[in-house]
Amino acid sequence: MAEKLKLPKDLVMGAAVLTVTGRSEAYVENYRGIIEYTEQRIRLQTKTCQMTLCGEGLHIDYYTEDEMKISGEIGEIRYC
Amino acid sequence: MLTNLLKFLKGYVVIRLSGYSPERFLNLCSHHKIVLWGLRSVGADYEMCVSIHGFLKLRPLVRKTRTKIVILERHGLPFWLHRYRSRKLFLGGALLAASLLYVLSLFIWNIHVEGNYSLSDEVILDYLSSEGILHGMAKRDVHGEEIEAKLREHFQEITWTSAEVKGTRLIIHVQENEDVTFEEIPGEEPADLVASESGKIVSMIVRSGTPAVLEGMEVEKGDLLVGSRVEVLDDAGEVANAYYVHADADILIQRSEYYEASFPMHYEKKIYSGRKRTTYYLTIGRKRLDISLPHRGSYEQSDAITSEWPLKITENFYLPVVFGKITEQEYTPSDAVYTKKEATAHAKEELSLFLEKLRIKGLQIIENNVKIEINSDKCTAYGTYILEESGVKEQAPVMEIPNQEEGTDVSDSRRIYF
Repeated sequence: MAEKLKLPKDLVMGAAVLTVTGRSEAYVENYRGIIEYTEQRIRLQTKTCQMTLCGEGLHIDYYTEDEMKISGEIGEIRYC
Repeated sequence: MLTNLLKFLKGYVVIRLSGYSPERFLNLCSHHKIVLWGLRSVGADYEMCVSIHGFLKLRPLVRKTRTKIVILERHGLPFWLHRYRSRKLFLGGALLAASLLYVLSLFIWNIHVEGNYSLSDEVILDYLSSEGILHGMAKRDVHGEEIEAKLREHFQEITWTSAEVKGTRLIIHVQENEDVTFEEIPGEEPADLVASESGKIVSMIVRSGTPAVLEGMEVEKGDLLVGSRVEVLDDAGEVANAYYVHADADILIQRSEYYEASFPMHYEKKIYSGRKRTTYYLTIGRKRLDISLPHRGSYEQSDAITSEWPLKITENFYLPVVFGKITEQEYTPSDAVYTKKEATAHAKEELSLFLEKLRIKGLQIIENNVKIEINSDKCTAYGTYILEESGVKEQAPVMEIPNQEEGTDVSDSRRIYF
């Protein structure tokens, strides 16, 4: 339906938007909360699933209710 | 940059979070719209920055999640002000100095005159002060165009002025008309040129008017040199019409003058004893204040050299305080007689000083036949010298009254037709 109405999917479905720049920076929008946060692993809850970023020296530069910026050496991005 | 400035102004703290479920605490924070930044995990704990405003709202969340927070660092203006609260006077002084600087910058502290050549700074400054343009006046009272107009009006010599305010300086640029000396008749009106001195004409350059004399002619004082009436001749050589102009010419007149000066051969010579003393004083307004201790004894005869240094803030802003120094040198008078050589040198010096004065006035010395004669009690210098000078003076012409009104343009005062 969202496609037919040409509405952005993140708004309609509440899907998370992940923007990765190289392997050192990532922006996450539309997430629900932080489940786990260590230097090696950041686990986030989104509406439909969990998102896990693994790597080295991960660091949350800032985070607000609907957006966060992660920097560090990202090794793996996994959904489950 | 802007966010950093805002963070600094509002103030923030770095806190360490430890306990049972820190992630839940973080989620609650974002849910309550408490902004956290610089989040780092240190071992099992987290460190983060939070604004003072946000920090004050953390207490219920801490209780709910059973975590503990410790303040590690405090940053920003509110903490800074608190830390230096005992230095209010210092801050006050800094503010006072800044405001004083601002207030002082609202006034003119230096008036500088530039480009003046024959008019001295003092003359212009005196006139300006009589018009209310003074050192220490408010900058907003300076109206450049008004000053310019007044200066041009008051000083005939000034052809162009510009008043400029630069910081706390008022700079007055002046352009002078250099040959203003014989501007007795306004440039528009007809004028004759007559000889100001008797003598022989050696050179003559006429720019306007009808020459009445020739080079090499002898003229008397008051003789007409260049007439203002210009005649227009017709084919038959008769005067068709005539009009009057403002005559203008450079005419050099040569004349000889007699010089005589004498001085007695006997004079009083000062023999300095070598004793000196110096007194310092201060003049404030009209009161004089001696700074040095009074001297014991007094000199019978002495030379005193007084030097004064008026205190001034800027180039031309004098304070009513003058610092002075008097140096006295004791001497004993004794009679002396000039030797021939000395007397000649003295007489020559007097003569050259006299001629130099003439030269400064714009006269040119062509020849000097002054002899020096010495007899037992007097030294006399006498003789003639020949000089050249610009010898013209303006004079209102005697105009012939027009006998017919035909074709006369009344509004044009320069041209009168016959």
